[in-house]
Amino acid sequence: MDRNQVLQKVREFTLNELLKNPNYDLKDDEPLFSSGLIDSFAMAQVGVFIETEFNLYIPDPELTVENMDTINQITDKILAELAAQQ
Amino acid sequence: MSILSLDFLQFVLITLAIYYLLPGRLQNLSLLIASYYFYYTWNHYHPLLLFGLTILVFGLGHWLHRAGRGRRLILVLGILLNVGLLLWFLIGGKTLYNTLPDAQRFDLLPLLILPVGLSYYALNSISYLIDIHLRLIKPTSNLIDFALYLAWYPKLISGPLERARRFLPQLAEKRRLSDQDLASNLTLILIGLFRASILAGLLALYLPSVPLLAPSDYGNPVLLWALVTYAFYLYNQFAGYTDIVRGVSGLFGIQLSRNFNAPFFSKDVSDFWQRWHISLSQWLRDYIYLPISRAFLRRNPSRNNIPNLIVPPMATMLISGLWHGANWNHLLWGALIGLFIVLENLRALGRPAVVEAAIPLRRRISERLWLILLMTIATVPFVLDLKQTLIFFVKLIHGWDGQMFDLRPIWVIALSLLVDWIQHRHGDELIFRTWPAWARTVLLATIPLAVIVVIHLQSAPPVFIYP
Repeated sequence: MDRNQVLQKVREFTLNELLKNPNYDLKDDEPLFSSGLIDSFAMAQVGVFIETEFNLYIPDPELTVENMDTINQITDKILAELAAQQ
Repeated sequence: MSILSLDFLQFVLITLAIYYLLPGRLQNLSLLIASYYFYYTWNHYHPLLLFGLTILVFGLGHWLHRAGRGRRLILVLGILLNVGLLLWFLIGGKTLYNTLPDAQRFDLLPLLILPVGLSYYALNSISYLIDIHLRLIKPTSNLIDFALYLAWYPKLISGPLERARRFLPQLAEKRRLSDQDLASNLTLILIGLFRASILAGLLALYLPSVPLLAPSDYGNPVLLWALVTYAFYLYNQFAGYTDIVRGVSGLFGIQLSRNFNAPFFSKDVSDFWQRWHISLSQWLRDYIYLPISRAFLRRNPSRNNIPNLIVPPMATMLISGLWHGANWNHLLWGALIGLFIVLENLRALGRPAVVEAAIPLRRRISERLWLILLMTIATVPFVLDLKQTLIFFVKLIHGWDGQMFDLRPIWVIALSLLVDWIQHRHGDELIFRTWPAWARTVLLATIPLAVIVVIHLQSAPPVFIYP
């Protein structure tokens, strides 16, 4: 799976499930949690989404705003974990 | 030894002098000895408890790392050890204390009263073991570093809660203090003194303690105002304390986490908990909320599923209540905060997220005033026992009885909000360092002077322990 495919999945999930607004003009580098757009408690949803969609377990203390504040960062984290698995 | 005392100032200066005179390999050992001496000044027996726990958790960490099968069992053992200790002192020791005759009670006192700092180093031990179990860290092979992680004196009594993976690497490297670091840490100490000694000190002088102790004699405006004053007193006391200990720790080149970020400018209760006692909120989020929430989401991935919205925040806040004190009133406090978060979750159901800047100013202001009111009401069971809490709430529901409240604290509260607003607006807690030289000179001259004046006005030097 290349970066663009992962990014599209993350984007779709963020717009539909986290923001609940598919028409929102979300930038790849737009802060989601630190800007207050989504509260950081929604990080549990991100963790379970990554588990089901990519079969990856990201430990709870790794689900931080510093690591996963933008869809770019979430994508990079997924790609790094996928690479580490291989 | 209180943080806000001349004894503590002397202690810091002596430990700093010794630390910088020693060669690098002996520096951590000197900090460990200083930390145990500091703990000894609070209670002669509790350093032994800390030492015993340190050895056990250090050993468990290595066992957990090497174990093939049975890793989960070792982790459970480590968690039970720490939770068991906490529960013993929070519930068992307290119950025994109330049933023993006076003579025996005195002999057994160190085994019965909750050791200051245990609430923090027990949670530090638990997160250390869980992180090893999750393979996020390897156990340190340096017992002195690990002992210092649990005992480091600036954070020992009231936090902040530090994670091993952020704290231990700082101990392993050679630490240098640049001129800029020195200025930053001294600024932090000055801000802390301003909050803890001047703002909290003045609010303590004004604090109408009588309505809080005998709520049945007062009407609702007096009671509400007493609560607002208390909430700002507690905030400035705790935030100021944290700034001071962070600054002191920074003088040794050891950075501690930020614990407050303008909590009274939060948009809702969930946001408040990410800005108030941040190190505890993040600990609870990582080791209680997220595991429960993920377990529920795995069963039903929709966040709109009602149990997903209710159980994780309620369970987390009840545990937070228990950590603050094993009393019915603290459990009620946790339940109340949990309920506020659940109501916010239910209110947000199906609503699209909105960028903060897109919300009209009037609504943003009313949201913040509403939040201060909610958090003020939640303070009642935090301060009073269950019976007094009920009386308080009954009196709050009743109308105004004509009594007027003391308006003097209002300017201190306004000053507290102004400091928060300046830091929050610039996204920099040390923004005052960039002020013109004349303004910094005025601050530098007036803050220590005002601290002395306020301490002189108080009948006894303040001792801060949280929770």
